[in-house]
Amino acid sequence: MVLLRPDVSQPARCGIDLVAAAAHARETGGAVYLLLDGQSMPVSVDGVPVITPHGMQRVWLSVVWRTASAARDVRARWRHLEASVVHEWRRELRRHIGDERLPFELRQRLRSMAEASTRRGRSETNAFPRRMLRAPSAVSLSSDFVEEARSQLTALGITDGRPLVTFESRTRPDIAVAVMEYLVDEGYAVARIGEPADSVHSCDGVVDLTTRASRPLSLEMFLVSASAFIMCESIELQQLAYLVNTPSLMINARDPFVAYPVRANGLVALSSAIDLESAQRITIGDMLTQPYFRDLHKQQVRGRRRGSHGYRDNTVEELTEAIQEMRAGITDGWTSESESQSRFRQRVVEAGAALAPISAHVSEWGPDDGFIGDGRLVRFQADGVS
Amino acid sequence: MSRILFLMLHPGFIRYYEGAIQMLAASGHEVNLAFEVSRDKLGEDVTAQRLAASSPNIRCEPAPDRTESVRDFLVRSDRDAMRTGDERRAKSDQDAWESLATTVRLIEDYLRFFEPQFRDASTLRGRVEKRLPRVYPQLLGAAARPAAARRIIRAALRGIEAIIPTVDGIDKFLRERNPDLLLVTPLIELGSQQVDYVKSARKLGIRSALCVASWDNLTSKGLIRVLPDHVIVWNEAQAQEATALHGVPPDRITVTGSQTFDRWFAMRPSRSREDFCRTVGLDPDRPYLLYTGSSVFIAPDEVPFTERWLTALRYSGIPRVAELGALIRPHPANSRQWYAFDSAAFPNAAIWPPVGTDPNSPGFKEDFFDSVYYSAGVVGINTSAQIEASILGRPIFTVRSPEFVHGQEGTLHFQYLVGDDGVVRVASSLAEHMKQLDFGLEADPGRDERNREFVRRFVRPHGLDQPATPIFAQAVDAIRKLGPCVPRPDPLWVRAGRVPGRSLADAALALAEGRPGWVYLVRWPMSLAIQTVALGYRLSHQWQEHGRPTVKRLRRAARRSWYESSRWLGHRWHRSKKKLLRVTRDARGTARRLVRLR
Repeated sequence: MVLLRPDVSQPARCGIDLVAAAAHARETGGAVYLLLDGQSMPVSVDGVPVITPHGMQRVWLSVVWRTASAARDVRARWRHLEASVVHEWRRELRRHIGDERLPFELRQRLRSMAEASTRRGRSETNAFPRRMLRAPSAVSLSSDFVEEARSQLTALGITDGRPLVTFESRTRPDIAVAVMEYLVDEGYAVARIGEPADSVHSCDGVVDLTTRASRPLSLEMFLVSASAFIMCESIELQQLAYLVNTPSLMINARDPFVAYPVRANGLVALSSAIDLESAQRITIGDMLTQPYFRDLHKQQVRGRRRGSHGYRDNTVEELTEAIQEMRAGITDGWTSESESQSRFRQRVVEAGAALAPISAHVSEWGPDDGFIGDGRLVRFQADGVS
Repeated sequence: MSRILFLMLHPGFIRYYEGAIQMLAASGHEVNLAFEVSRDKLGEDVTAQRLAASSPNIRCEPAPDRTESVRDFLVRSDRDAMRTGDERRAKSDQDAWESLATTVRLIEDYLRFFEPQFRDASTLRGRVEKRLPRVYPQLLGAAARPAAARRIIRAALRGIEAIIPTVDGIDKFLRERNPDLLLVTPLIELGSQQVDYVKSARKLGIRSALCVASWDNLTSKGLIRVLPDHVIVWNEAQAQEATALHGVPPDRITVTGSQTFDRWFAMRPSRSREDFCRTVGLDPDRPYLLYTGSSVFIAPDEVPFTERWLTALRYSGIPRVAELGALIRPHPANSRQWYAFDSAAFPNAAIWPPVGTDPNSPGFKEDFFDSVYYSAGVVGINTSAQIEASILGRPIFTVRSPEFVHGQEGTLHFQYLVGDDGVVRVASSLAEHMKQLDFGLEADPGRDERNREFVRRFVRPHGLDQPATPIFAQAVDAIRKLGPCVPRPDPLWVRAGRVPGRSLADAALALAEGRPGWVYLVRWPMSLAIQTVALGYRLSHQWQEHGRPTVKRLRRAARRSWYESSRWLGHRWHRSKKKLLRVTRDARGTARRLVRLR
């Protein structure tokens, strides 16, 4: 039995929870029990019973859930405390390691103790379960839900006549506008979701949902499931696409490990990273090195405002090329992968294996037992990787 | 000839006072500039050299070294982990007192941001919090919320500040320079060590004055912890800030205007508009907007906003606005991020000066002036360039944006720009901003009058035609003429307080590392254990090096002596035996002979 309480206020986040729960239930031969407040989850997974408990069963499972989450909290606090102690212990050891008045052998011994504590501190990271997410779940949405979502979309002007693309872009509205216009010209209807864009521009054939005060779970999930493919910048939306097995094109990605698509129908296009010291563009190969991740980690995790790298978003030309590759993949199947794309995947796996012992971030998001994903880097970028 | 000692945090502050210093030197004063920190990031060292070369009466030198600078204080935990080969320095009394001083001053700065007027300034408070060892915010975070508690804590901190002794090196430096007047700027840096100069000056009877360098100094940084004899400010607004926020008595305040901006009143464009536009890469036939970048605190990540702004401009749907050119001017101290900006992606947009241009290079100031002078309007988040634009009478705009809340509503000085008496038109969205641009770029006599009034009030309070530099120089000279103050040596209670205060200083020195409490508990036993193990290693070394060879030698000597002695004994035995045998044989022969004879 897998017990799940998805956060329905964040549809994108609850997607990955559902995928992981379904995959785990399938492995263990159990069922997924959903504990939902108010809303119902309109999902069924073939082969895995998804049960919404009622009455005494619900009360009992809620108690189990609360107990388990309390235990999880205690474990997390304990891990945090342990990590803090290990960290401080290492710092104390470092105070003595550099003291040349101490005998060399003792300093060596202290150094090995410090390294051992470092390893211990890093062994606690929860890795992203790439292997578990590899096989697509046969997820289907309930007919009531589909009906309701479809009527909402019709009211917004999206009809069944044209294939749909869900588009999420956070920066460079000029590029977003050009790409959406391109998609419309190619015969797609475009639904724009995500954070509200502070742009005054709109174009025909695009339904902008970013300005709506509330976007119910049903709408966002249906949009992604009904789309021919999605273009996104956030990892959460990419993971929601895993739930409904919709092809995804991740754009403006800064982190090759986090963004690397698990499923074969996924593509990723990396931003251009600029070294702010030398003003030079760094290569994609350099984006797989420790200095790059150290800087990225400082910016993202420690909240440091300025890093050593700046980023330029994918250009319109790059994105149209990526869209063409996505369309070719959908039409012809995802079997043909270029030599450079598989070489890049191998390189990510190798870099991940090398960096995981020294970077908690890579050990969390990097290869899962040698598997990074069946997706690929967009061809025009992969061809340029030396 | 009188001597003026001008203490600056670093040579970057020269730009605020360059004209005034030259004027003082020209009128016969010997001006000695001392810098606490050397800095060459933006060519500040070149400015100092140029200034020193401009007059024999101007001298530039470093201020005395401190045993622990604020920067050292902040990185102490890293410094404590010595690299191999570093020399471990014994902690002195001075270290402990300086640590206590920095701690006390940072806590005071931290507490000020709990005051009601700073309720939106969480980022400013966070900036101090980051500098403080973590134990203090944990202790004070909740305790400092009631105003009465803050008053009590502050009174205690002032008491501690009083018992912190002056620094011998600074006393010596001031005695040697023997200035008639000590000028200090900025003094209000977080945890500033310049306070020690003011304290030393009081003790030695040297008159001191704080020169407030910029418009945000009294609201966005730390407190004036020990009051100098005089405070020189730009305008009445700052005078009120000095009184209300820092407790400076009004009779100690002198309003001079902002000497920094004097050259903006006198400057003229260095080239024609057409030449300028061609140089920077804009269409000379179209008007352009100047986007002025803000400092790193205000806008750490400004490029994405600028890209949105440019897109909004191009897609505004208002032909007059959509066709405007856009010139981006990065803030000189926050320009690196603009390497990631691709101006070629936007038609009729350019970045000028190119990122990485040395602010001391010829034409840098002229370029800035021309950029503002020829612009149709100026846009920025929150920057002093907006004041400069007001001097030239340009329409000025800003947009409220969620990522800059800390640098707009989160600072008090932003209100001077956008408040009722301000000159900046503020929009709450880009759409509204576009509409403001549509109407705001036209000639408007009302706006010109508002600009003039703002400049008169904020930049030149003595009249628009009255440059502030001579007024500042006169104010400094007038303060100097007041003569030295009465030396104020430490009273008895202060000297008595130093005995228990020393323990407090030791505690501050230890806590400055910002480690959890248990670390201090285990440190001593851990050090003891390590030293014990080290003693074991040393004894083992000694044994290996000296003990074992000695024992070996002794053993060998014993064996040898045993061998030698046993050989000698054997030899002796052998000889004795031979002798005995011979005697026995002789005796036997004699006996036989006797028997035979019988």
